[in-house]
Amino acid sequence: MAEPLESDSSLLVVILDVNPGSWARSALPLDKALQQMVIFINAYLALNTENRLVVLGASPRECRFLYPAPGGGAPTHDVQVYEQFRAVDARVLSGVAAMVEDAAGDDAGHSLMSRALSMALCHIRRISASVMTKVWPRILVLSAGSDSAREYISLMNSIFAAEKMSVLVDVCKVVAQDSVFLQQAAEITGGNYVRVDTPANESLLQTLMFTCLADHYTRGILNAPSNELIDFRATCFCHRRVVDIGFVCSVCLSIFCQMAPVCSTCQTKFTFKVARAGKGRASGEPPAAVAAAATAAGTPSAAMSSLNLS
Amino acid sequence: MARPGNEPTDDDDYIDIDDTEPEGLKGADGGYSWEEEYKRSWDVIQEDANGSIQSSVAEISDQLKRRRRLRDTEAVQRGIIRHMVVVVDQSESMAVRDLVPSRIHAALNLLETFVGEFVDQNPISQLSLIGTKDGLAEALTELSGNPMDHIGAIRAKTNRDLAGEPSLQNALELGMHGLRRAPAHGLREIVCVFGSLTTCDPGDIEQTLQALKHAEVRVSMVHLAAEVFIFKRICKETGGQFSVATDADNMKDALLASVPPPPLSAARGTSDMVLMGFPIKASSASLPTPCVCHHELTFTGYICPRCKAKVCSLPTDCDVCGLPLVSAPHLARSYRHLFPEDNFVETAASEISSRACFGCGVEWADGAPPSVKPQSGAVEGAARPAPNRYRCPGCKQAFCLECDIFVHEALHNCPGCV
Repeated sequence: MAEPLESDSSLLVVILDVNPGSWARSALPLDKALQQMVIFINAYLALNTENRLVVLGASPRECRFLYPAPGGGAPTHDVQVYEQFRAVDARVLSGVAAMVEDAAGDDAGHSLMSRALSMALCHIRRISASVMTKVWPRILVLSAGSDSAREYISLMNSIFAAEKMSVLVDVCKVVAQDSVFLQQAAEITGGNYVRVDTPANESLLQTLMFTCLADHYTRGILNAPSNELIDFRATCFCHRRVVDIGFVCSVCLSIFCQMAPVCSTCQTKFTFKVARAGKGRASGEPPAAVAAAATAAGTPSAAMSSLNLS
Repeated sequence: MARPGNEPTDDDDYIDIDDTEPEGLKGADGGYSWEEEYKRSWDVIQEDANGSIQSSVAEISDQLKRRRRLRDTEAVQRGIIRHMVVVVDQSESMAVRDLVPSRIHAALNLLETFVGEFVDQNPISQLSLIGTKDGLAEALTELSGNPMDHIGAIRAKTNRDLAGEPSLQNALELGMHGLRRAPAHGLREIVCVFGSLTTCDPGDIEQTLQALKHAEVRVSMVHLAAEVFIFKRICKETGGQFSVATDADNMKDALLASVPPPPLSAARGTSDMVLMGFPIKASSASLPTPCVCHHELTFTGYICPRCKAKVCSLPTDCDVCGLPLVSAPHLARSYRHLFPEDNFVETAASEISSRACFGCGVEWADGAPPSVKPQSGAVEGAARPAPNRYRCPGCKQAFCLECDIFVHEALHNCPGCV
């Protein structure tokens, strides 16, 4: 892959979490955050005339391209404002307002973050294929919600696709609670993960300007904010516990926190004739413990038949 | 002419070098069949109503894309944990220039792509490289999941030195020796790239074949010249694929066919629970600490949860306690082989009501009303005769061809279904 040059333009996809429910829990109100976001977007557009911008809104119900919106009417002119700023500001603000209205009522769900990321990547891919000059793509996620375990696999698929396309994913979290999934997204793709949880004036804007405005070229020079510890641990499928050493089914890769003779996901019966991976480890639990574990998992008969087999 | 009566027999003695004669060798467009690669592409292109050739160029590229569109979507058990040995022929026959610039260069360049793809699609699998020349086999890299090890060896100049004849038996024995240490729950595979039609073996290759079958090693081979009975037999008996590459594209297809994890046969009863560690990434800005893998001082690393040793990259085996270390995203990345996305159904443009592709949000090239000017971000797909839409059978959303290919080849989840 070619090195980024100073003159190269960028393609920024901003994903706005517009779930009213999660913004209600955040210290920073949505309208304040939007104002600061719009200033950031204008700053980004002003950096390079070739810079391209896409704004995506994500609510629990749908994901929508806010800018450029498909088939929007021509905005009115205003001599006081730079034309492109005006178009972006109007589209984003009205688009978010419309999405919030549509999403009102079901504030319990999670925003469709993996769908938004997938659509962003589809768009980036389409743009990159169609332009002659090199455009460096990146994604900025402004998130207020929490992780939804259901989205994990699709989110990871999107993240690895982004990594392959050398798309940076920056994440700006506006609530106190960290998102493990998005933290991993930023870490894997080489983007920044920042958390802004103070309601102080303009603190979001300041953070965005300092950490997320820099393009690919500038990031090679800057020192990125580093996260001390990033959790790459997994959650076991059986008790939803976070494990650091776990048992993994060799067929379907389900993670378990204790031995079981039958995989609860793919129903594979394990053959215990082989020593487990890991050199020099003492042999594991006695069969009684295995059977007990299986009984606890609710499959005693399958466990017994499998034990007889082995 | 001295003997006018014998004219016809005289003519028969001459070897016919007139290239207009043997019609059977000519292809459809007048060239020899071995020149087929250089098709007269300008003959195919025709101007459309506006005098532009853009539409027919686009049509040709679409056809190429469509060829790769449909893929196997059946949810079957696949061997996710793989141990693969790649054998490269480094004999003199690899110097032949029927592939540009030569067989060995073409093969090694392709192997570099192969290693990248393999590690990408099989994040918890391991590779090793073996070279064979002068009747000997030599391990270029040991089994490892780190692509840089292998790419370094592929790029090394010394590995492009060719000599003597290859030895398939030695290479297979060496590969099998390496695979013997691999755990039984993983798949064991050997993939050979051969250019030589001969093999210089020290013993009976039948015994090697029996040993391969006993150790459940699948042998596949991509041959750059022709089919050889014993090569094909070994591949067939061990359950692998034998293919002969006719040109560079063909070689690529044949080699990359071993990248996706192969389906498991029902008879293989070696499933197991594998103990794995999920390390935490730790970084310290002030004080570098040594890693156990390269013995270098680094600021960041992953801490093995069992012995607290620090390793540089994942996935790997802990050098101290031997625990396989993976990150949870690596496991998540392999799930897609188990639950592949459904193929999208090609649907006529008239049956789709949406204005734009659901994935990229770009309006249909033909469907945009002329009054609406495209936004700066929107792409103009050129004036084409209504391209077909592709509909996801799950969420019933319509996608363009580009997004269809992207969703199935790179993204692996449908934006509408998640």
